Amino acid sequence: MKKRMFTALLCALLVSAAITGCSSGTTTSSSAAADGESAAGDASQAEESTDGASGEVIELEFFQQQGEEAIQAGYEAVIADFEKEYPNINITQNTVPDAAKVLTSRIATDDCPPVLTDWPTQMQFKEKVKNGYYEKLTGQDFFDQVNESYLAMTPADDGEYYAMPYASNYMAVFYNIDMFEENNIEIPTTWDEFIAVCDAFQEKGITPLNFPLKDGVGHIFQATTVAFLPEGIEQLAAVQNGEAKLAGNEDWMEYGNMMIKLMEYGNSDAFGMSTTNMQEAFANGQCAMIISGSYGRGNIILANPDLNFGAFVLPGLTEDTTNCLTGVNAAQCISASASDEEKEAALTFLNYLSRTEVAQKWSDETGEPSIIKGTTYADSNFQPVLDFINGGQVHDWMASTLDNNVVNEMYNTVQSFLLDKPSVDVFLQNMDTTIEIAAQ
Amino acid sequence: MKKSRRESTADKLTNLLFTLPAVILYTIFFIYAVFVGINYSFTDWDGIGKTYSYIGFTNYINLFQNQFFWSSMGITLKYALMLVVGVMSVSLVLALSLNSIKRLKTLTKSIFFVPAMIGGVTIALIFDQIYYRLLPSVGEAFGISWLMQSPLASTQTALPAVVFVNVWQAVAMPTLIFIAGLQSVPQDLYESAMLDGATVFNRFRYITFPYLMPTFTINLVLAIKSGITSFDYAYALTAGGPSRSTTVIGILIYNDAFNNMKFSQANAEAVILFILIALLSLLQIKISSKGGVNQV
Repeated sequence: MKKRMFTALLCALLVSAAITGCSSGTTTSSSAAADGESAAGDASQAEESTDGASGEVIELEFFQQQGEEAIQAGYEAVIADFEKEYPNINITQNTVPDAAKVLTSRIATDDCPPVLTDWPTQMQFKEKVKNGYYEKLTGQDFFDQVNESYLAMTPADDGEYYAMPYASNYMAVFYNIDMFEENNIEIPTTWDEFIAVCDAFQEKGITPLNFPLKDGVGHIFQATTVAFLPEGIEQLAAVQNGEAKLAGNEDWMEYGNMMIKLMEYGNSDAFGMSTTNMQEAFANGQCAMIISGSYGRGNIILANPDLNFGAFVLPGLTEDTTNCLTGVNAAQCISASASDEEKEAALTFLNYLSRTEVAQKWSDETGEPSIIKGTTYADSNFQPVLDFINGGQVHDWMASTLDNNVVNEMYNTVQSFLLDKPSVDVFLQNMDTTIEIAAQ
Repeated sequence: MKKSRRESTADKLTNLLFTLPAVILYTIFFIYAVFVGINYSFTDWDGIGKTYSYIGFTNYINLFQNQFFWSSMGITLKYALMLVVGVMSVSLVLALSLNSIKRLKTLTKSIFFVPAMIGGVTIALIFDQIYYRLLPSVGEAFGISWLMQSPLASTQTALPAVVFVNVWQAVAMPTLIFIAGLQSVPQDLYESAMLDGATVFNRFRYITFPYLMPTFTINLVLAIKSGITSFDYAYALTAGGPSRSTTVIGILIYNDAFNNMKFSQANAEAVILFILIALLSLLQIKISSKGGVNQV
């Protein structure tokens, strides 16, 4: 009996110890909170000496959403320079797989990173702004440095600016210049010419195109829609709003047939090939062309620095109806929930990034086209695409017009179409159903 | 009489106090989370909004009319069925084989346990390369047409290819549990059966299997649960493709929550999955508890 009483007492002691442990934890956290308050107090004192005279170092997480190796390396290079000039600000670039999903989950748990990149033309960005997650940046000096036409694409629904556009992106046909020259093949400007180029390569036993349909069907769908159908995205928006159907639409019937034709020139393992595999294959000369985003250039150079390659606009039916898919790339934002100290450090960082020489270095390192005034694109082989874009025959990415989930679900339906090859009629009916379900 | 009642109360108190820390932790980290999830499933929360409204059963009604949800449920059940059959049969054969080894028994068991110590995503990425680079080369070398492209590239073969990877890793633990079960079988029963002229199959059917029944039940429940809640292998290998052919319910929930900004609908999907697992587990335990040595 005594033994049992002793055991019970021991248990009670353990539980009370655990509870005490918890309460001591609370004390710790409240003392931590108190520390936080004193830190905030210190921060206000530190504001007086922003150049680091106080010696206090501000740690800043920079949540950078683009996983491409070259882009990460480009940011690392400019961050290293920044830290030399501002030794009191320590920036850590954080890039994770599935960054968009991780960011959503962090925002949902009130853990928005103090500085981050996001796509200001997309609907999901505007939702975050509406919910007050991003700091209003209107009126900041760095906006004077940004190309006005791209800046004009980025205001939120309230007309204010919440991100600093830093680079543009585009989808184009990357081509192996040596292969084109060796086979006396000219750059095509219309769909018919493009098909003739593919035929010419095929006749010579060279795979004309590689497609990464395991994971990259979405961007190819977007690029082809913009190139082949001048009103394609607007027609999809009409379907999303319940105002139209794709089934029976002649433009889309033609689009379906063009896609089937395009696939005839692709690699046999297209559905097992990832985007990275495609970039490697192109870098190693396994195909003459790929349809790629500008973000792919850096990875191709990393895979084969000696590859002589350039880009041209994916041709539509005629030169006049061809549009190039382009948009504002991930732009820099500041969290509204960051501390004053962090916001000040973040603004310093954004101002630094907006300097022409910094943006130029970043563009050279990443291969991304900078939209900071005074910068030039280092690679003349890609200049024709940028010139075409400057000509104004452009369209923004689908997510700027359509809901994110509609875009994501359409990717699956397009993948089914290319894989299972049902009739174009069935494909368009499936697209209508997909959009209807996703838009619910 | 009074004394024994007091003793019994002390016993209960002791037991209660011992279980209390676990109960508190479980309540905080599991029960609370479940109730929060159920609560969100009745709202229109998009995952980032600071406010939301209660919309009753709208998410559930929408789900029952959503063909993507039903197709995901079908794929999940197929996945679970293939996983259960694969894991149970391979682990049972492995356990019987390993149990009969006379020499280097511990070393052999350790080797077969290695896959369990590697992360699921790591294994998936390794197999992704095997499927993409190795298998097509083998197919081309030997002229086997169906091996000439990655099995993940076809809607017909992607799901079995993902399940194969899962089975490859998942057999280790059930094998160990089966081996533990096999060691509980009294050897004298085998000797008597052999004297009576029982065949190998009959010895397995009438001696080994009844003793293995409790471990069989445990492994079956674990395999079903693992199959229905599977996410990492399919996500790392195919992200649900091609053409949604490997979009198990876990991927659907993840995409709806974090990609499609339908957090409340994703919670409704998770609640339905929870109910499904609970029902299947109950049914399965009920069925498997009949028979077996301990229940005789």
